[in-house]
Amino acid sequence: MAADPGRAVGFRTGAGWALALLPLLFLGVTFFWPLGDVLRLGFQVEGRWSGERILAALSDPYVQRLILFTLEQAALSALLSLALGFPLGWFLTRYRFPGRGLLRAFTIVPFVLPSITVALGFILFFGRSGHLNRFLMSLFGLGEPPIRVLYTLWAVVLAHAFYNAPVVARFVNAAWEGADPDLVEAARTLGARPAHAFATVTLPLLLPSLLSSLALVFMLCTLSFSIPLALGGARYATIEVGVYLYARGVLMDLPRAAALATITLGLSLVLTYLHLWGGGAFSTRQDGGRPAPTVPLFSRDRPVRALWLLYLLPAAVVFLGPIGAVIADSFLHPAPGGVSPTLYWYRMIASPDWNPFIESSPRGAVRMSLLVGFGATGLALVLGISVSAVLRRVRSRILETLLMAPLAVSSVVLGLALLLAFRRPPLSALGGGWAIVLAHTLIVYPFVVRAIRPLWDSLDPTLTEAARTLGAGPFAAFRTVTLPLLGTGVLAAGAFAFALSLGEMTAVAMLSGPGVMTMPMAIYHFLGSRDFGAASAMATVLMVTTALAAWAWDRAGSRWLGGSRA
Amino acid sequence: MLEVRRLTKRFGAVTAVADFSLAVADGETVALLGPSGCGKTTVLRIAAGLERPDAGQVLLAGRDATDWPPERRGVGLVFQSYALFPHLSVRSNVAYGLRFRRGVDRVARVEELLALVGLSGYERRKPHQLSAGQQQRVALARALAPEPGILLLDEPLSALDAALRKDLRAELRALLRKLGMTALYVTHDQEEALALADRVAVMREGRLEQVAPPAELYARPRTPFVAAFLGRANLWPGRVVSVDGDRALVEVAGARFPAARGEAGEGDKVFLFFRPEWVHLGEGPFVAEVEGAEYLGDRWELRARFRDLPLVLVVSRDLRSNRELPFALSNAQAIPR
Repeated sequence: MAADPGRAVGFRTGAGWALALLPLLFLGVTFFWPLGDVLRLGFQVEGRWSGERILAALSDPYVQRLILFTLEQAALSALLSLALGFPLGWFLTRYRFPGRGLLRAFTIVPFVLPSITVALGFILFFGRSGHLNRFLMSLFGLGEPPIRVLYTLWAVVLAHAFYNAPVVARFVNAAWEGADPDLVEAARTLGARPAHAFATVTLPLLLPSLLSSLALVFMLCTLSFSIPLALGGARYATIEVGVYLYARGVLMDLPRAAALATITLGLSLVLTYLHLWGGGAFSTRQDGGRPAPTVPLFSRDRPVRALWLLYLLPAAVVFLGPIGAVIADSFLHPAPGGVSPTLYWYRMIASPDWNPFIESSPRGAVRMSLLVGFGATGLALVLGISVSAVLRRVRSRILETLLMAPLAVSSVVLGLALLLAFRRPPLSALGGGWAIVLAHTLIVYPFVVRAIRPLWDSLDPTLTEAARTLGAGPFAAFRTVTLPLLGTGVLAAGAFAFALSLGEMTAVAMLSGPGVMTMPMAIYHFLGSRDFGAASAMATVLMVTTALAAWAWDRAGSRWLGGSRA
Repeated sequence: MLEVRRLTKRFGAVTAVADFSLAVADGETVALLGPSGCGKTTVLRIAAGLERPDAGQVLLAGRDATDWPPERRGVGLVFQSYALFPHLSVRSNVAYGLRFRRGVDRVARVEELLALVGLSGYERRKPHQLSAGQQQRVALARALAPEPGILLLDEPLSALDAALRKDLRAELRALLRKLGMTALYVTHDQEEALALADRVAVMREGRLEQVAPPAELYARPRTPFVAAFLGRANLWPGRVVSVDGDRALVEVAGARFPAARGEAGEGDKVFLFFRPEWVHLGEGPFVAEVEGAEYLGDRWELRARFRDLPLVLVVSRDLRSNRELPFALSNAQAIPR
């Protein structure tokens, strides 16, 4: 008999709803109620509901500029990501060369790198006196730095493309490999030249993926925070940055922050909806009968492939330059007549001495990051597993929407919500660090659910049934069979959650305070005090940790899938 | 003892089991036989507590167990896919059910069971390091370990190749007898059902067609479905023209055949049913036209025709050269249609 993978042992669907109570209660206290605080502050004027505050915000020229700039940079970022990512996807699909698998795996890395480390890399590499300008000046003997991109729209757009072009490349690669190669060959036998077959067959097949990756990138860039904050400055601020400036920064106007947050909440809901809707409408995934044919990259008879160097070399500079600059600067100390290697910066970030710029000691920031990371990972695993268990049992759109709702709310809004909620009971009873832990839990648990649910669904349901007929109750069966079988996946999800929490800066920016400081925010403050060496050392530690976690995540995922089929 | 009474189970618009009753006596092996999709696995799952019936009752040792969760029922279930826990060794798989029982010497019990299924020495292996036949044995040992009151088997041999299936079938039968086990065995393989079971219950579209010991089921099917499902059958539509005690005279295509009356009355529309091996060739009042033959190694299956009615015969030599064969029926039955 074909078994429904979601089928629950026994027959109590009521148990699913009972199971839903716990996560709903948690989300109620930490998410829905706080979000309600934001909306109340946005919509209530002297105890009555009105749209005055929103309208006032919308008619403020500064806010109008924020909105326009947000959409402008998001659109440009999406287009540049496409322009940079499409050739990479093409390259990965068409050519065989040593290290192809590695390069493909590497495309996930920019996505998991903490955004503040990317921003730092851009400053160190593309800055006025950055590595690229110094190199170009000495190469051509220039007296002035030729590249002036920092603190402009283009710095923000370029950094966003750094992040998202690999995402586009992955989309293109997946769609292209899923397309049936017979179709192109059919076009060729019907008389189409290669370029014509590409334009009339391949491109239309890829179009849905291109559009949906464009939509995703547009959404991510609209809600991006650290990059515009660090690279755009107050002049080139997005709405998200605006919320921060009103709530925590120089502008100090909480009701205006709430009004802006309400606007960005609406925007992110519309974008999420469009993205989900588009994902459904565009996902005409077809299964190619056989893998797409590849050609060797290196061969003597086709020198035209050398043209790829024209793309690959600049791309390598854009992608590797900023990362390399961070790592290099973390080990270098300015010395008379150049630089000298040093571990000074690493000793400095382990220092227990109070640093007024970061309102904490560097060691305290590392400690706080780890505590928050472990706390949020633990909570997110429990919450993520319970939500997965509920959604397996109860097939309800409404429940799924409620339980996954934090996914549609940007981190800035979430931060503002918790900022307000921690000023009143019951949450005010907790310390400031808890606000960050809860924010990170809410940000990362949807990823845990996304990682665990398909794995759980792929488990043979007869295994739990076997356990039940052998005398195990529902919880004993979960503990002794399901959980060990999900084990690797849970660990991988935990590693990923930890990496996300470690690199997350947006919610921290909203919620940090004296003594409550994490590494990414410390890096931001080091930037403000021009402590590039310390910032680089901390960023290197962060990058290595998150890259390791992402790698573990990737490895565990693939090994697990291979092993369970054996 | 297991008894199910008037079970009904619907999945959406599909009725998987309809008003199904069956009792399995202590120490008895009953095979639940039917084509795929007839609802036999659903009956098994209801008995195990993995599905809840929409109507009807499950009785275990005389007590109403319909609402009991699976872990309280004390049934052993051998899954079609074996459902061995991939993260546990052979030993831990077999010992799994003992975790939930007190006062059992687990080590001894696991050893005993592995010896019983001939897998001593395999304790440390993981399921994926075993052959399909060995996995099957582990699944059996695991189900037997907690000393279940009844063993339920869901097509336990269907994933094995033909030769192994036959060997394990004999082994399984010997084992069930030796342990005096009460067992309900689901299969779509008639040979397996006939070879293993004390009684066979034939299911069709969620309903019970007939339950009887194998020999009786083969010789005296009560419905055309059972007659055709088990072995080769000739079923000719006809009518009872007269009855005399438990005998009847059936008219088929203008000819009259004596037959066991069964449940048919005078004037009833019936099938005249007989097995190929019940036909006597070379003598008798009727003549069949030979159409072709299939060589099956130890015998020939002859396709013939009697006045437009298809006739299947089993013979020991090639009779294709005979255009016409006289025949007689020593044994036939009337089955109401």
